Amino acid sequence: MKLLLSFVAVVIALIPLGGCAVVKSYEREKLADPILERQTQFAKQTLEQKFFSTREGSMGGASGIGGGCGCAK
Amino acid sequence: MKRACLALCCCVAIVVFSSAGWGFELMGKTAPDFMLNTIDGSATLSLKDLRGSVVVIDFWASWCPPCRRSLPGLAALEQRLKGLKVLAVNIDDDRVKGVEFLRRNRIKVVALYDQDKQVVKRYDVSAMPSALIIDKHGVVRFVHVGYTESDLDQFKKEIEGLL
Amino acid sequence: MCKVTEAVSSGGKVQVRKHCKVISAILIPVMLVWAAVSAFAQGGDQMGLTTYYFSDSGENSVITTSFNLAKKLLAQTVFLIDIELDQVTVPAVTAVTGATRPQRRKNEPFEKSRGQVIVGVEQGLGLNTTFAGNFYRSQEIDYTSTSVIGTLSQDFFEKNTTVTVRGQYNADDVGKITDPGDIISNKKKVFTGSLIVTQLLSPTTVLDVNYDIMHMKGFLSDPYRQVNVDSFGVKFSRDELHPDYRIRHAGTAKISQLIPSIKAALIGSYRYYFDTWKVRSSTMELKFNKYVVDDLIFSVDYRYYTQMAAYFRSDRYGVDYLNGGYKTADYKLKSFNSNNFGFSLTWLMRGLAKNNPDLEFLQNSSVEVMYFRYFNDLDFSADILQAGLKFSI
Repeated sequence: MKLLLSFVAVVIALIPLGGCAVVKSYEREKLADPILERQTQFAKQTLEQKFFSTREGSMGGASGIGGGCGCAK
Repeated sequence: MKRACLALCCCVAIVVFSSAGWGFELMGKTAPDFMLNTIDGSATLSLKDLRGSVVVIDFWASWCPPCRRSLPGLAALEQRLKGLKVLAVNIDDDRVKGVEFLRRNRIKVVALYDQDKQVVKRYDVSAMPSALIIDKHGVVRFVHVGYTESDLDQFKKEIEGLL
Repeated sequence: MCKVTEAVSSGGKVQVRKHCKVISAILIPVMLVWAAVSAFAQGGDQMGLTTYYFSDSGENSVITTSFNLAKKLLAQTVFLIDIELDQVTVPAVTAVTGATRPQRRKNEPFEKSRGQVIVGVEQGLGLNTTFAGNFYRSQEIDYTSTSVIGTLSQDFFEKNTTVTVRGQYNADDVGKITDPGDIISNKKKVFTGSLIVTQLLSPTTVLDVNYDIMHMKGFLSDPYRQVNVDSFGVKFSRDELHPDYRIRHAGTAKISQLIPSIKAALIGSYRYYFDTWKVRSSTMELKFNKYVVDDLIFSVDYRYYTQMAAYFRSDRYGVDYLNGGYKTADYKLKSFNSNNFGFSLTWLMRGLAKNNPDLEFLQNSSVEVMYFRYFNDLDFSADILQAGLKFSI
């Protein structure tokens, strides 16, 4: 619990730094390139992740949904 | 338990203080003038030339999924409402992508190309797509950030109120 | 308990069939949904069909087919459904996949099917906030997993920063098929919390930071695995016994950098993991993607993994059963290092849509072929071939 709250505190403290490097919505064309492999809504394990999880004692750390799109729904 | 509540309160505070929408500082003010070439390069158009008409400026890009839906809806509105002019300002790095998109989707609308992104910077667009509705006197009356199909009814009401 | 019957195929393989008809219960809805959605899909909806074939040099193979749909119900409400079917085949000798198998069939090739369904709703709350609720169910002959997932995503600074918090509760049924054909089940509960932060560093650079914490309680062993015990020269086997409690932590940082001048991207990541069983690991991965021509991407991938063993892991267990009597035959809990080299080619079918408006539906579809070579210092290696088709409208 201590570790989790420490991590949350660090992340919250880092959030304001995001205001220092603002990438405008009209500058995000390159980030939409499929070559960057940004994920979509379905954050499932890929086949590769499943392969490694059946051979290793570790799990997790890859549940990222992704973000950074300049689009509004 | 106390620590969990504290963490939860932090999260709620973050949600509450997150940034608000764009463009509301332009409301009630004269829309900044600009002059751009059409996307096919055949003509040049200035916003001032359209004084006397209700104008919708829609900032869009071919790489933005909601943008791909906003244009057909606005083009259809322009067909139905006399006195309405739609200016679709494209901000693709490569003009050809915008041209191809319009051709593939058979969209008939006045499309301008903001090559240096000067216009979109001046309007300080915060998300794509973004649309402003400008009255006959050149004043920004409504601002829309994002697009869903249900927004079209709202667009129609607002424009009809200005015509 | 669920009765299991057996049938011998013409190929000599033994197949175990379950009367609960899991596969047909999923296939029929998939076909119905596909037909219905094709008729009613509108602008703003997304639909995808993916199929992958995976094979390694250990003769393990997996065929995975998945269908997903994101259907807009209201202005900011999206209904999500994802259905996946896996067909797993493991060989008779040295079964090294995660697919569990009846112990009595360990000397014969074994086939197994798994079905997975995820349904959920995603609700936008204003321009910068999204909430999603999902229900997940995975079913195979001797393992069932049910979970509920809640996700809250918040954008800041004109969507330069995205913070996502996710909570997941899993209730698993870990089954064991016994000799008479019955299934004995044990329970496992897992709570997972995730915190993900995505930060744009420049128009071509993205940083992702991810932290997962997983709290597991219940039956955490493999019901089929046995360990060898040596008691003063007398050797025998016992069921493995893992602690019934485990907390797992994983933190990952990933940087994705686009290099427009050479039409390429470099993606690097590092993960640190540790848990209450004293397993610790580091994972480093580097991937280079490059456009060979428009719409064709070539990728090279390297992954290095190093792990320290669980505290109760031993090569030999004596009669005194040190460490609380815990004992494991799980190779995944050993100390080892591994390397993984991979290559892939991805063809983006959007090129076909460029000159033919009738093929606009291929705009987001792709074909991918991937090969990777995995080897570790436990004398295990595998050549993996994977091919897939992603069809999305």
